[in-house]
Amino acid sequence: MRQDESGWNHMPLTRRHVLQLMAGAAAGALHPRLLARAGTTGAVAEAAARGFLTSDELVILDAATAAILPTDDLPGARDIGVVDYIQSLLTFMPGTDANCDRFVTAADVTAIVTQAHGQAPRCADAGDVNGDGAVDPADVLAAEAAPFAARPMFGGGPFSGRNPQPHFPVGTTPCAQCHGARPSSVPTGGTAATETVTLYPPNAFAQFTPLNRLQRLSWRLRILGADALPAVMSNPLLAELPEVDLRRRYRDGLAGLEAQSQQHYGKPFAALTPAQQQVIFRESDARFVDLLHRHVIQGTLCAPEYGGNRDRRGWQLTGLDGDSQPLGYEIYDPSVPGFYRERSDKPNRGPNPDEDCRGFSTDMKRFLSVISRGAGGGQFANPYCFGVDG
Amino acid sequence: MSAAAECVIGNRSLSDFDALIVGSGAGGSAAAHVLAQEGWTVLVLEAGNNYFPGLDQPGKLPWSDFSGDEIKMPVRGLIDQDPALEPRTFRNTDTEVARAHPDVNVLTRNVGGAAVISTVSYPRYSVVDFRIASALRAANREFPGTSFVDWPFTYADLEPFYCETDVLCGIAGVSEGPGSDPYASWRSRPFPLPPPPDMYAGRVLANGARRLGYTPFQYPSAVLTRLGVLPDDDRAPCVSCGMCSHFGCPRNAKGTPPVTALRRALLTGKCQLRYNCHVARLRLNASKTRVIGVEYFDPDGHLATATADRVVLAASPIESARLCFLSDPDGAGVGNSSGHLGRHLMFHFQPTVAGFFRQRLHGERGRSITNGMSDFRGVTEGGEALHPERPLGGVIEFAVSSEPILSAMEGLQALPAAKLLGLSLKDLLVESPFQAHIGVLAMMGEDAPQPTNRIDLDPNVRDVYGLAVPRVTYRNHDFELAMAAFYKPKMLAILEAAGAEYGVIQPYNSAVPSTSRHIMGGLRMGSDPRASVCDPYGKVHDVENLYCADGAVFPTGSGYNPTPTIIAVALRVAGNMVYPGQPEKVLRYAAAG
Repeated sequence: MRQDESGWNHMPLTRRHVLQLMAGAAAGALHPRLLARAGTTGAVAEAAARGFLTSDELVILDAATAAILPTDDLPGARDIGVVDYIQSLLTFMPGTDANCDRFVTAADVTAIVTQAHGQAPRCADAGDVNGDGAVDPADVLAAEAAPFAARPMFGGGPFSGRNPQPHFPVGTTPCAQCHGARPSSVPTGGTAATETVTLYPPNAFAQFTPLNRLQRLSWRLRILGADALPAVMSNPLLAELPEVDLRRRYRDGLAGLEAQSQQHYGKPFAALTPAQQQVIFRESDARFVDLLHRHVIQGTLCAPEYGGNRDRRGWQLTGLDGDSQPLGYEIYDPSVPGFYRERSDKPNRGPNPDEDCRGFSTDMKRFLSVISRGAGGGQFANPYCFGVDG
Repeated sequence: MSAAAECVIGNRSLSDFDALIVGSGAGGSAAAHVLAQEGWTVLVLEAGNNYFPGLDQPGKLPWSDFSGDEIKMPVRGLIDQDPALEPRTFRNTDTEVARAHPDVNVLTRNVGGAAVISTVSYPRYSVVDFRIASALRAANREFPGTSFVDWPFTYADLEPFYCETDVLCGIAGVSEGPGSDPYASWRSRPFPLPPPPDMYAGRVLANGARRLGYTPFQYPSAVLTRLGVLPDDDRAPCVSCGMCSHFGCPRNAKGTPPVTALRRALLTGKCQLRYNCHVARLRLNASKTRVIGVEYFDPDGHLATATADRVVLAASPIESARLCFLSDPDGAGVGNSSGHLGRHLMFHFQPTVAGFFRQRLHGERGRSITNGMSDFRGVTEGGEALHPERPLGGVIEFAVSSEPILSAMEGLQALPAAKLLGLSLKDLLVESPFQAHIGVLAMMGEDAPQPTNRIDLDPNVRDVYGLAVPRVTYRNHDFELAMAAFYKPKMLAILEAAGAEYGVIQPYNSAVPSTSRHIMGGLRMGSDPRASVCDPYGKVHDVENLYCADGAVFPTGSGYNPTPTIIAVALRVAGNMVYPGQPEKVLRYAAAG
């Protein structure tokens, strides 16, 4: 077995190789990319090419997520890429990073092919995408969608590359030899207070974090359901957990929305008005509708590496910065009193520079008043903003 | 490739072990540190995965594999115990059938344990905590059904180990004067590190507390705030990145067990850590007076064995007690001649109030908790005695929402009400009342020990390994409920004084298990073998070479975050293993003189 990095890249992969392997395999499910050609366009077709849900299902999902978070003068689920987030979640399986380099690329298909030909895997579970205990042509089929999206299920660490590495004074540079701190990201010296921050670490969030046996099993359970579990278990909780058996829940849930829509309005869900779609939500499986809401929130506020929060629109919507490492909000600087310097753009210790203390909208006040009275509290008489007006 | 061969760090050539430690969390890491420093060969078995590359390599510690990624950590739960694979069951009383519940106060599974994702809020217990039963008795405060006892040693006995913990973990805090906690007990040495800056939400809430005459302080926390101060200056400083509570620190600025105590142990060359190794049971001799070793599931899922002269339980209280029950074929439980095994289980009781503020408090910046107050702990200044008028409560953390996705998902509960008032999910996201505008007071209230609150094995439910799962029987006592009723209105008043526009009290539901993550008791220590499981130095009375070095040994729970006390007690337990009767001989940083 060749263990060196480059050896794996020398293994040629051709379409013919894959077809040869597949020829011996039992007929599998239709390839998602073939389904994607069925006639849709744009974002849905693109997402369909990436995995589990079919283009027909994605049309319903697209409409449902847009009904939950519509586009108005601010971006909605469609602009944020929530469908992409969910499709990625449903598609990827442990083992997809078959060459164990923490990324999912076309090279992983090569690695699966070589393993199916008898080469030993480089890390646990590598290449066994469908989790049947063997690396074989069926795994090629299962993995082939992956290179088109390459979304992690658990992103790597430590940094996303969205924030710069602050400069440290000579002699205090932490971790010059650190894992992940490639030379280009490590400051070479200078004084902290004066230098411009320009060094950005590489993006590790796009990597696949390696998983242990239980973590892989846990993930299979979430995507594939209890069939993935060993027989020794006896757990009455399984059916109650919200995020287990997600593929089936989505397949059934989306079909349920569509069926209810046809029954009630005689139209596809995607063709209904927003008000009608809300009616269908109320009439459909409440657990699935709740799951959709949870995933819309996740797809809106996740790190963009997971497929949602496109161009950080989700974070912008809610006024968030996202991850802040390695810069943070307090720059360690021995040249200033207290050794810490806060950022003027995003103060840690005080209110935002543009804080006007206007507070909530009228509707939101009404809502907060109702829920606080219902929760043993209530409205206080003299609210004020410490550091702004009091 | 065999995963079992890969998941080993430290000295891989060791094969004969003086001690085997089950669990690499706060207690296990501290014990490993002491034993390895003293030249013992130590094997640590950890059920979870490792996210600290280079942990056993000298020099500057590399960045970790953690990141400010909310999907990875709290949402998809990379290191969480999965209730689908390892469920626990819960009930209030013995007469009920326990039901599997997704979160029976589970801790994370990873090298370093749950402290890795904590805010490393590290205050000490007080003088009076160690003789709490005597103090309550002297004050004629009686609580039928509770099992308060004095600890088998005093604060003064533990104080040197607290000082050792301060340096080992690098605890930042204010020792005296403005910013210090007037209710904290005496310390023979100041905090080794100064506190980092307070975050805005902490300052807002502290201002409210101060207006009402209370004495908020800068919360003691194990975060690195100075380079060149600690003896092992191998980590990067905290930069207040914000993704702290529920996140591992990517830069190892949090002085968590793996990057402090465990790393010190691994660097001695006397310690080997095998991770992704789940201990299934202890192996004992026929008379059950000696432990021979353990059986564990290796990273490939195969059953393996390991032997050692001594075994230290440090798997956290629920798992340590469970292991004692799983290891006795007769069912009574190893070390259970007293009948107290698994009993006197304590969580902290956490009355919580939240305020909605007009301004954005941006809780996603800063360290999640930078300030707190002990005025509602119910002790006198210096923590020497019970407060004459206030019931025993706990320290209050001034907290925020630093997890936008979790906050928004929790807010879904209120979405139907919001819709009735014409608001949409988008309105909740854009105005962000549940995240950007929320300030929280959360008390770590003392939880009365009760013999009926206990851990045993569930007769029906099995985990992914085929092992019986822990069953937790737990019901709050009036001791806590009355305390909460007393303090909650006062907590709301602080929110009002801080400028909040609305305040809410988190509802209490006895049917839902605590999620405090502060777990204590189950192998309570004491001098009387008929009334305790472990002796005053953590040795299991019934077994000559079995010890416990986690929160399970706590006789009572106090009203402060338990982790630094777990560490101090574990240092003392391990110290006594090496130098019986003279555990302080192992102190390195806090040696007398």
